[in-house]
Amino acid sequence: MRMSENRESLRFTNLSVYAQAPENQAVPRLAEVTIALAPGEWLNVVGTNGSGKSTLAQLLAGLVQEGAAGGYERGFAGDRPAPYVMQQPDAQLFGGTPREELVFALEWRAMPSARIMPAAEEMLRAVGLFAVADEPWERLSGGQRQLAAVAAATAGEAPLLVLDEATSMLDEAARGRVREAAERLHAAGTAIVWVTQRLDELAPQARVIAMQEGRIAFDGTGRQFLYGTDEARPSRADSACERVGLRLPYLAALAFELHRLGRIQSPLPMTPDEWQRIEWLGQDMKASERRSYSRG
Amino acid sequence: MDKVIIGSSSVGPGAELHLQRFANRLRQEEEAVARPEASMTLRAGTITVLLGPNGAGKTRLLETVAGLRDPQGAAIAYGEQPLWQSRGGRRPRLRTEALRCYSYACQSPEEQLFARTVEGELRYVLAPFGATEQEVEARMEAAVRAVGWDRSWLGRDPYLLSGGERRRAALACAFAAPAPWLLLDEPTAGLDAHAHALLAAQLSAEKAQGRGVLLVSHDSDWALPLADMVLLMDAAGGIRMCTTEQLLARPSWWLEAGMDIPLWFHAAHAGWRLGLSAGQALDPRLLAARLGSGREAGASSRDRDPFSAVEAEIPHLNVFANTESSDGGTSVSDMPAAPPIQSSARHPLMRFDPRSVWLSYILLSGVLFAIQSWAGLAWGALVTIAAVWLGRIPLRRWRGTLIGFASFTASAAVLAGLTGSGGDGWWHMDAFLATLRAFARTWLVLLLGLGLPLAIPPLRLRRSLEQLLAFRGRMGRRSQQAVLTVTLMLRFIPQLLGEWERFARIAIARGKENAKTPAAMARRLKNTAIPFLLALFRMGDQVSLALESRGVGQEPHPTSAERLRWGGGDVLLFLIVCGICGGLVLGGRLGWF
Repeated sequence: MRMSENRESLRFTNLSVYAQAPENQAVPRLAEVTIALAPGEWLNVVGTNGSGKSTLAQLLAGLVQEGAAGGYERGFAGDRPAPYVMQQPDAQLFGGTPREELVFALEWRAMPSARIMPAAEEMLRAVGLFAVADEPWERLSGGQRQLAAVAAATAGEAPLLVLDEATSMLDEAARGRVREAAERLHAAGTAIVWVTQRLDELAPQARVIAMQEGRIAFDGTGRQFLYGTDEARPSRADSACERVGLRLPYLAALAFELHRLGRIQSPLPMTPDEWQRIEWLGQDMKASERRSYSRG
Repeated sequence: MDKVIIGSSSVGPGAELHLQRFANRLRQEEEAVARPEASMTLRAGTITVLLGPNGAGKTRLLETVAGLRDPQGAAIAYGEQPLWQSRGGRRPRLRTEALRCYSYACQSPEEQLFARTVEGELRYVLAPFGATEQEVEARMEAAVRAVGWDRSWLGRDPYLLSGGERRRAALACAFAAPAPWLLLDEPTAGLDAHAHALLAAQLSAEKAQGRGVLLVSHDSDWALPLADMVLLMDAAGGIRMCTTEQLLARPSWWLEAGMDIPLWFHAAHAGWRLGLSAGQALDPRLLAARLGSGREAGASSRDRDPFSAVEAEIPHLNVFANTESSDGGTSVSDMPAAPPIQSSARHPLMRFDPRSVWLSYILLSGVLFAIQSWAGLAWGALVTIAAVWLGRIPLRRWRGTLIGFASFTASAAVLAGLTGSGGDGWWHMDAFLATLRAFARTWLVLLLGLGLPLAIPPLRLRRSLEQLLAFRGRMGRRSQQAVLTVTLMLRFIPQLLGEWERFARIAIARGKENAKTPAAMARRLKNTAIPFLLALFRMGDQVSLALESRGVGQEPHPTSAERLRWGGGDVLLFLIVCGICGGLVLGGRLGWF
C-alpha cells in the first residue's frame, strides 16, 4: 500500500448500516454516523458490546459492510482496505512463523521478489521479533503473536491502521509492546483508530468517540469523556461515560466526589502523573507506583 | 431469588469447596512427602475473586475445580463430595454427583447456547437436578428475574438477541441451577454499567443464601468490593490467598503475582492507611468523604495491622508449576507456551520439498492399502513406525482420533466375526481377520496422513502446489484461490481441534453428564457441535476480515519470495520410498513373507 498523495480526511456523512435479518430491521447496526478522520490522527473508540464500535471500525478500515448506505469518502486512506487487527491474534495469522507471516503479507502486496526477504527482516527488527523470526507460534507469547499480526497487517506503508480491541486479551507488558508499535507508526504519519474497552488507555487530550446503539454519542477529548464537556465545571451528569452505559471507573468516581467536597480543583486528574501531583494524596499514590499505566 | 431447594440435590447450600494436594508433581517428587498444608478451603456463603496476569492459568484452575481437566493429583471436594473417584490403578472417574455441586459460566458463556428459546436453555441446565415441574417453573422465573428480565423473555430466541442479551441469558442459566457453587469466568467483560450493577447485586444475594462464588475478573475495581477472599495467582502457578484487607495492606502482592498495581488501588490503599476498613476504602464515595475530612494523609492513623498474628498462616501454594501450555480458554497469554529456546531445531521434513514428501506419502499409502497378508501388514507397520519416528510426525494431537479408530476397528472386526458368512459355528474367523486387516491398514495410513499437515507448514505447501500448477510462472485465479483455501484450512485445523475440545468440556459442565453410553455421547455431541459450528462461522468471519484487510486474494499476481527447488535430497527420499514400496509389493507377490 502506497502512502497516498491525497491529504483529504476520511469522511462519513449520515452513514447507516442495516442488519440483514428482517427481525432486526428496526435496529440499524450503525445509524446516521457523521465523522471525519484527518491524516495522521489518533482516534479512540469506546462503547459497550453491541454499541456498533466494531462495525464503525471495520467501515473506517474500508472493509466491506453489506447494507451500508450514506456518504462515504475514503480520502487519504485510499481505496484499498486498511490493515485491521482484531482481538484474537490466532485468527489473523496464516503462516507458521513470524518470518513466514511477513513474507506472505509482502507477496500479496506484490513486492518484487528480490526485496521481500530483506524487507521482512527489517520489519521483524522494527517490532522486536527478529530473534524469534523462525519460531512456531506455540513458542511465542500472545503479545508476540499480536505484534506479528500488526507487522503483517501494516506490511508496506499504510496510511491508516485500525486496531479493534487488539490488546484486550493481553497482559500489561504485551499491551505496552503493541501500543508502542502503534505509536511508532503514528509518529511516522499513520492515522490510528484504537478501539478499546479499557478507559484507562484514554489520554486526557486524545480524541475519543463513544458509541451507543449504533450512534456516535460523544466526540471529544478523553477528559471531557470522563468529566463532562466543560473542563472547568466537571459534572457527573454531563459525563459521557455513564451516559453511553459504561461503568464509571473507581478513580473518576473518586475525583467527582473529591471535587464536590472541594478537595481538588478542575481539571480533574486522569493520568498517574496528574493523580500524583495532588500533594496530599500523591505521596501515597507514588509510594508503590512502579510503571506507567496509560501512554500516548 | 426465592429459595428453592430441590430434593435430589445431594449437597445443600453450605458445602465448602476443598482444594487439597495442589502442590505440583515436580515438587512432590523432590520432597517425596505429600504436603498436606498445600490446601485451601473456600467457605460457602462467600465470594472469592481470583486475580492473575493473563496466562497464569485462571481459567485452567476454574476448569480443574469443575472437573473438566485432569486434576494432576489434586483432590477437589464439594462438602463431602469428592470430584473424582479413584478406582485403584485405573484413571479416576469424574463423579456426576459432584458435577451437580457447581454451576459454571465460562468466558463468553453466550457461545454455549444452543436451544431455540431461553426457556429451552434453562430447562436443559435444570434437567440434571431432577426437579418437579413446579420447581423448574419457579427456578426459571427466578433466574430471568436475576438478570433483570421478566417471564416474557423465556420465549425469546437466543440467536435473535444482541450480544449483551445473550450473555444475560447465559448468566441466567448459571443462576438457575440449584448448585451450591457458582464458578464465573470474566462474567462482566463487555457488559454495560447497568449489567455490572445487576450482577453485583445478584452475587451478593446468592452469597446471602449460602451459595459460594468463585469469580475470575479483570474488572478489579468492580470485583474487589464484592470479595470476601482474594486469590492472587502468578504465572508460575503459585497462589496466594488473602482477604481484601490484607491485600490493601500489602499492595506489593500484585507485583509478586506479576501484575501492575492498578492506579485506583493506590488510592484505596491510601484510604486504608487512614484507618478505613476494606469495605470503606473500596467505595470511592466513602473514601472521598474520609479524604475530604481534612486530616492529611501523611499522618497515618493505621495502627492495626491485619498481619499481627496471622501472617504465617496465609497459604501460598503452588498449583501448576512447569505445566505444559497454559491454554486458558479464549484468553491469550503473554507467557510463551513453551520455554524459549535459542532456536528450535528445524523439523526434519522441512529439509525436503513438500512435493517430494507428499508424493512419497501418496505412494506409501497406496502400497499400504494394497497389503493382503498378515506378514505384509507387519512389514507395513514397521515401515510406518520408522517413517513416523524419522519424520517426527506429530501424532499426540490426534491421539483421541487414533485410539477411537483403533477401538472402532476392534469392534467392527468382532461384529464381522459374529455375523459373517462361511465357516461353521457362531464365530467366523475369516470374516473377523479380513475386517481386522482391512481396518488395520487404513489405520496405518491414518497414522502417517494425520500428522503430515502438522509437520509441513501450510504456506510452504501452498508454495509447492502453486509451483506445480503454475504455467509460465503464473497460475489462474481459480486454482490460486483453491490452493489458498486448502492451505488455510490446514493452517486452522489445530485451532479448530482446540475449540472443539473446549466446547466438549463445557458441555460436560453444563449437562452434568459424563457417561460413556452411546445415548449420552450422542447428546453431548449435539451440545458440542452446535456451539462449535457457530464458533466456526465466527472464526471464518474473522479470517476473511483479516484476509481482506491485508489485500490477500485481491492482487491478481502476488509475487513469490523464493522458489522451492527439487534437490538431491528430494530425489534420494523419493528413491528410498520407491525402494521400500517395491519391496513391500514384491514381497507380497513372491511370498517372501
